[in-house]
Amino acid sequence: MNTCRDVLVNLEIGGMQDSVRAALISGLSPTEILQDLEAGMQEVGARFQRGEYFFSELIMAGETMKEALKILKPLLESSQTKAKGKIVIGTIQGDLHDIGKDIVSTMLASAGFEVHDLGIDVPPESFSAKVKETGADIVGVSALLSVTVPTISKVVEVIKLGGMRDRVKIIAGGAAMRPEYAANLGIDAAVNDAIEGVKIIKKWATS
Amino acid sequence: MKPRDRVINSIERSPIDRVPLDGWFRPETMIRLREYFKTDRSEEVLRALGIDIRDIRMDPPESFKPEYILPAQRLSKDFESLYATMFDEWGIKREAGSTDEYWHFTHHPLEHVELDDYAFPDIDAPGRFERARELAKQYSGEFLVAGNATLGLFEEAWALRGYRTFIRDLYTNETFVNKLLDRLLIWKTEQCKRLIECGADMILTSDDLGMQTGLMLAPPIIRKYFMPRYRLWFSELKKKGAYIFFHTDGKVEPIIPDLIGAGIDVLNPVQPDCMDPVVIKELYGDRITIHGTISVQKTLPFGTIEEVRREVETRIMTVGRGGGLIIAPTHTVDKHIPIENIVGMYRAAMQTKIPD
Repeated sequence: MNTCRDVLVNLEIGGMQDSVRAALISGLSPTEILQDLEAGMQEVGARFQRGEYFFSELIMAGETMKEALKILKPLLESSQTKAKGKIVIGTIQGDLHDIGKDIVSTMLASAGFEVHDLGIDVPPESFSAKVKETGADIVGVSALLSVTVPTISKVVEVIKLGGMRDRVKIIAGGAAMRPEYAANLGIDAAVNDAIEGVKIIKKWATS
Repeated sequence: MKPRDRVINSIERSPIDRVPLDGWFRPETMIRLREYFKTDRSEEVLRALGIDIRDIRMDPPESFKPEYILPAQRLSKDFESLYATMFDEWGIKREAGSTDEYWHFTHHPLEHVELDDYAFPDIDAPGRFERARELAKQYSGEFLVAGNATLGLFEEAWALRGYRTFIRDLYTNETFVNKLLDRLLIWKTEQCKRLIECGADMILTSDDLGMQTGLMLAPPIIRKYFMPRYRLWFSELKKKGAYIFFHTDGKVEPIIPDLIGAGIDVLNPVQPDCMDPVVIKELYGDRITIHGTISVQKTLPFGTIEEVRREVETRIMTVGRGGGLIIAPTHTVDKHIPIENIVGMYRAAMQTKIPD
């Protein structure tokens, strides 16, 4: 049988759960399987960035990953693996687009992050309240509509007001986003590519 | 020159007096435009802006009483139901966002009901086309009448089925996808035929197949499921003499030849933020008319009036030669765009001479 990694990279969604079970009975631990899947997700991301995979295939990879996590998550929770990092993520108030944000959420969850996804149309105060509640060290704000981009500074403002700016990194993502917007918005990174965003967040978590 | 002739001549590459204009406005924007032009009629606004195209569309039948869950802000009597959270006649829940500007689909009937047990709305139910027919009669001869038949096949399919679920279907459930798309194809073709019978010169439809950075769906999926059906759909409408206007946001260059092969005449919106209108004109300008090209992501919301004017002039100078260009904002104009920039855009377009 193919490894979990191959099943994921080939988007064989129907075979994912059985592949995870096969890996478990062959003696691999849930954490080892997750690492294998994470390598698969990285390969999917690389194929997307090379133009070999398209957005619909990123979504399929996310859906395939979710099938694996249905088996792995209960086992990982019982083994109490420490999360690589905690992120609060959501689409900014006034914007209802969720696909890019969901891809980042799924990829980070598969990379071992504790992901608190607030959904769409999220008021700035909700980001800061969730950071306070969870002790998250990273905030991800998604904004596709360019007119909602300025609202991201309000997220920064309320996090500052809560005295938490020093201990959280803030990243914004969205179609109209450019790296150079980060300085103006008072955030640490701005990207228009979900895969690039995941790379930056992972780097922050290991630094 | 009559607006209708201006648009047709531009599509047919015959002489025109100025570049044709089009645009759609969200209700709150239209209310501000009415105030600006000191009128209580949207038609007066469209005339003042020099817009050459008028939309007609199919209504829900008389018998359909939408179930409003959360009433939207009452903007005015003309627009009261636009952003309410409601179930539409397909059983799709349209949920309003907190700022009352947009809604999104949050309940998808085909996630809960088998396709074989799901009845499409009755296209011949009384009350559907009376308003369209009446409006077409009013506009007839003077303006180009566009029969608005959005959503398209991909968008209606995922609204019915759920976005992720439908993407999964595209990769794993061929029988289901074929059956759903075929039923939609037949239904939408009938809808468009009736709009043409009402007096539409052009059918306007849309499937967002692109995003800012590239295609949303893999090209083999687009070519397998959508292009052959577009070809059948559009050729049936072209037999009746209609032009085909196709909207897809985003960077979609790789599938423009496929869309041309399927029979489109007008491509919207050719966002300058991710596709160079000059390149699109060079490559495909002999076969399609470019519609849109004035950025609602940058210039219109954030630019000065002078920057708006410059973008319009540049577009007409670089893309307008020989016709095949219709200037419009690249999306519906929302409340974040200053009125002065909207008016400035249309004035600049009316004043700029098309290069010889």
